[in-house]
Amino acid sequence: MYNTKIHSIVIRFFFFLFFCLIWQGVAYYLSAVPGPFEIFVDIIFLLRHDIIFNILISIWRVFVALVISLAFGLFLGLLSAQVPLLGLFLSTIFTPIIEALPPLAWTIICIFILGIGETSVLFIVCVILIQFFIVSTIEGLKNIDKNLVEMAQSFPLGQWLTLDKINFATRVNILRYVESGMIIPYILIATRLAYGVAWKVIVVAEMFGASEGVGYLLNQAYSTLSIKRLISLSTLVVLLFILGDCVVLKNINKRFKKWRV
Amino acid sequence: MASINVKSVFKHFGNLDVIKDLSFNIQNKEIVCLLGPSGCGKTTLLKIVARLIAPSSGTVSIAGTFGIVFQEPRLLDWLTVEKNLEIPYLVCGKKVNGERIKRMLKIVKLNEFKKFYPLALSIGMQQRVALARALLFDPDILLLDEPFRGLDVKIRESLEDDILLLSQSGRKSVLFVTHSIEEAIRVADKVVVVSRRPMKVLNTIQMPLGTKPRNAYSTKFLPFGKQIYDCFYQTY
Repeated sequence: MYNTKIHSIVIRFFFFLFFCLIWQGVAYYLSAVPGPFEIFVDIIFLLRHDIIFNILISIWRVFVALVISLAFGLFLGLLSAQVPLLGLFLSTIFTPIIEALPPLAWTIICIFILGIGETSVLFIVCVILIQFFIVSTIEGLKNIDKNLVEMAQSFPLGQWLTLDKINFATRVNILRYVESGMIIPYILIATRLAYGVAWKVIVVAEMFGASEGVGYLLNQAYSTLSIKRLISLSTLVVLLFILGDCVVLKNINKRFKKWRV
Repeated sequence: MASINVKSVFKHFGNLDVIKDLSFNIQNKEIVCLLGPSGCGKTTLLKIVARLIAPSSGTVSIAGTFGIVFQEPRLLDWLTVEKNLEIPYLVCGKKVNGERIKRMLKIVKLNEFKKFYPLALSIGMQQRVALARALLFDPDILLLDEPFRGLDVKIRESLEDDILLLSQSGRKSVLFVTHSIEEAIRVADKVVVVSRRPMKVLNTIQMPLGTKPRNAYSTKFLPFGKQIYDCFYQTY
């Protein structure tokens, strides 16, 4: 187990080295492209100055947008399982609009309606992420093991002999303690997908709809035509994504899958 | 007084008749084996008795609380054995009784495995957990749906002995659904032989009083075995 982990780290390191070599090769032939070392130095420079605040703002926005869209997506997914009309509305109107409209179009529309600021940025990201959680919740509910639900229903039926139907509180308990365990894997997959998309969308939203954040800095670099700064900031976004994915999401995933033998 | 009374039950799914005019009863502290070929509708009947599905017509009356053990253990794979036994309390909105869970685990001899996940246990052990779960609320009636199917003889007999011990010490009525004649002779007070689909009662055989488990191959019980066998194979 330990050896496999080390093995995987070594292989990843060589992949990274290989990527840097190719990058250096491209930089050698295209003088407009800065090399990896130059970018590394620029990132260190940025980290020593006031970029930390902007990074933290972007991380905070990704986190808040994920939490809000998870809560609303889960709620709408559960509700659409109970109210088929809502499910039909989401699949015929909501999802196609969200999927077809590019983040940039959303950003411009939202800036016109809500103005530049926190609300605009969060709204844009949430609107795009929410569909991941709605779809995954609906799929999770569709694939629930009916045998386990039947097993859970047998306890109240065996106890409360006067009840013809299981009451609302028991239904909620079955959802909370039995069905939730079967929906969680779907939510975890949706979270990982949404996390990647969140970074893409937040950068676009911040470029036009905010006055701080990594996206805002990218916009500034674009307006000064600094390709080095653009690549440094883009590399930072990739590093932040990898950090969040490895440190948080993979550990949450591992925690929920430790029962697999 | 725990009892079950099944009266003129019919069940059909669309055009498919599964149960046709089926009646039988289970008295207090009686172990009744419902014996029939695979796929004849025994599980459907057990679900009707447990009120998990409704009959098309007829009545089922149950006096007393019941616990059910299904064909498969139906454990939540993502929870440990101990947490699985908390599920009945949580679903019913009751306070988890840790002492009772400990006692049940001791009874089914799985105390050392309480922190294990179900997939790390053998099927026999998983079925023991399911049995402990069914007994948590100390029900008056146990409904068993071929719980030992697919287990080897030794484990099956050991689990049957557990059921007998639990039902005798706890004074429980048991409805045991099976397709094994040997299993029925070992544990039943009464054997209800049912036909292939649509399921109806072919014969009800009262077994002699005395100590259990019985040896199905002893000369004393061979005539019962033959009677059940003849009746059972009429269905093919």
